[in-house]
Amino acid sequence: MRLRGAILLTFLWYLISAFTDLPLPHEVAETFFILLFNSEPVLGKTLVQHAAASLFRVLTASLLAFSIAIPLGIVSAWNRSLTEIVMPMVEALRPIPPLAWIPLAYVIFAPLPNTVQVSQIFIVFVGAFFPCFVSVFDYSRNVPEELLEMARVFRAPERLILRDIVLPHSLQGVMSGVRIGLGVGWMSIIAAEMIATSGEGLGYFILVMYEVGGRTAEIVAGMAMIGTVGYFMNWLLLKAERLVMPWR
Amino acid sequence: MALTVEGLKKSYGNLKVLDGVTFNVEESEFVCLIGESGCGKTTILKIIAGLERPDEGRVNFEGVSRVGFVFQDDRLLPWKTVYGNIQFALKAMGVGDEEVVRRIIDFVGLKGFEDYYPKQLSGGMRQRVGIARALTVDPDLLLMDEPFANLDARTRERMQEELLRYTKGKTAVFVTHSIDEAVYLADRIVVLSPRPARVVRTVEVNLPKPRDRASQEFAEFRRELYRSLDLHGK
Repeated sequence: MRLRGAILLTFLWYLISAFTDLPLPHEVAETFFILLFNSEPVLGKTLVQHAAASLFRVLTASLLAFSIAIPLGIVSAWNRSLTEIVMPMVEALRPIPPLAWIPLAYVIFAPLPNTVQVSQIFIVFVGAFFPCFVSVFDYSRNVPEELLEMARVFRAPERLILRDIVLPHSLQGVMSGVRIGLGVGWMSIIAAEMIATSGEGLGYFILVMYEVGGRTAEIVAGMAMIGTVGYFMNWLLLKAERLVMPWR
Repeated sequence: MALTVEGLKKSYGNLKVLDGVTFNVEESEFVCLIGESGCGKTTILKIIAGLERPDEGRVNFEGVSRVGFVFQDDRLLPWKTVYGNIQFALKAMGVGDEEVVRRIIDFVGLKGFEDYYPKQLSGGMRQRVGIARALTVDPDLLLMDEPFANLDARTRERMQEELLRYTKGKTAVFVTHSIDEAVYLADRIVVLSPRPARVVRTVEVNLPKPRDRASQEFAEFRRELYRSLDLHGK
C-alpha cells in the first residue's frame, strides 16, 4: 500500500510538473543529493550545514521552552491557585501563532547585538512552549481517580503517590509534549529564518534560492530536507518514548 | 468479632443507596455480600475501607490494623511491572521487603511473570496480581469487590478455587452478584435488598470446603437459596 501511494504521488508530481513550473521529481532528487554534501555557490553551504544550523537553533530554544513548560505544567496542574493565575495567560497567548510574533520580536530585540539569533530563539520558544505546557498540564491534571483511590486504600503516603503515580502518569504528557513542541518549533524556525538574513539555515536557504531567480529545484530540495529532518526528529522521539515508557 | 457494621445509611443527592445496613464478620470468616448490580454493595466496601463516610451508622474493627482491597477492575499501575505493583502495597506501608514480594509471587503462581507489565497480561493474570498486592500487606481484613466479574466463566471458577487457598484463615468480605460464587466461597452469605440496600437475611453455608460444584449438596443448597430469594430465572 505504501509503495502504491509513493508511486501515485510521483506520478501526480510528474503530471503537475508538465503543466506548471514545479521542477520534475528526478531533477529535484539530483539537486537534493548533490547539495546534501556539496556547497551551493550562492551561500557557500551544503544542505546538511543549513539543516544543522536550523536544528541547533530549534534545540536550544526548545530546551529552554521545555525546561520552563514541564515544571510549570506539573505544578500548575497540582496547585489550584496557580492554575487560576497561569491558565488565563496561557489561554490568551496560545491562540497566537508563533509566526505572528516574528515582526515584533525583530523590533523588540533590535537593540541587541545578535538580534536575529535572539529573535529566532524567541519565536521557536513560543512555538515549542505552549503545546508542551498544555500536554504536561493535561496529563498531570488527569491522573486516573481509580489509581489514586487504590493508593488511598493501601494508605500510601503523599510522597509515594507523587512518585509512583502522579509523576509516571505525567511523564506521558512530558514525552508527547516534547515531541509536539519540537515539531512546532521546527516549523517556526523555518518561518523565522525567512524573515531576516541569518546567513544559514534551511528557511533562509529557500528564501535566497527564490530571491536569486526562482531556482525551483533548489527550493524543493530545501523543502525535502525540512521534511526529512522533521520526520526523523519525530521518529527518534517515538523511539525514545518506547524506551522511556516500556509499559505503553 | 473482627468487623461490625451498624446501621449504615448513605445517599448521593436524592438517591438513597444504603438504608440501614447491619451485619458482622467474625474472625477468620469469609462473608459474601450478594445483591443486584447497583444495590450499593461497592459503597458498603468503600465505607469499610474508609474511602467514604456514611451519613449515619458506624463501622467497628477489632484487631484489624491492615486492610487489603481487591478491586473489580484490577487497578494496577500500568507503568509498574507485576513485581512493582505488588511491592507498591508494601511501600505504602513503609516497608519494601523484597523477600515478602517474592514469596507472594510464588504463592499466587506468578513466578516467571515478575517483569511483565499489566498490558502484557490476561484478565485473570491481572486479577491475580491484584490479589497478590492485597495479600502482601498480610491483611487482617480482606475486602474484595466483585474481583472476578470481568473474567470468563472457566477462569472465574479457577480463580475462585485459588482464592480459597490464598485466603485460608483470613477474615474476608467478598462482594458479588453471583449466587453461585457466593455459595462456593462463603462461610456466610449476607443477602442485600435492591437499592436502597438493607440486609434481607443472612445464610450460613455449612458445606465443607473445598466445595464440589457438581455435588448433590451444592446443587441443593444453591437451589434452596435461589428459591428463598425468589431470584429464579434472573
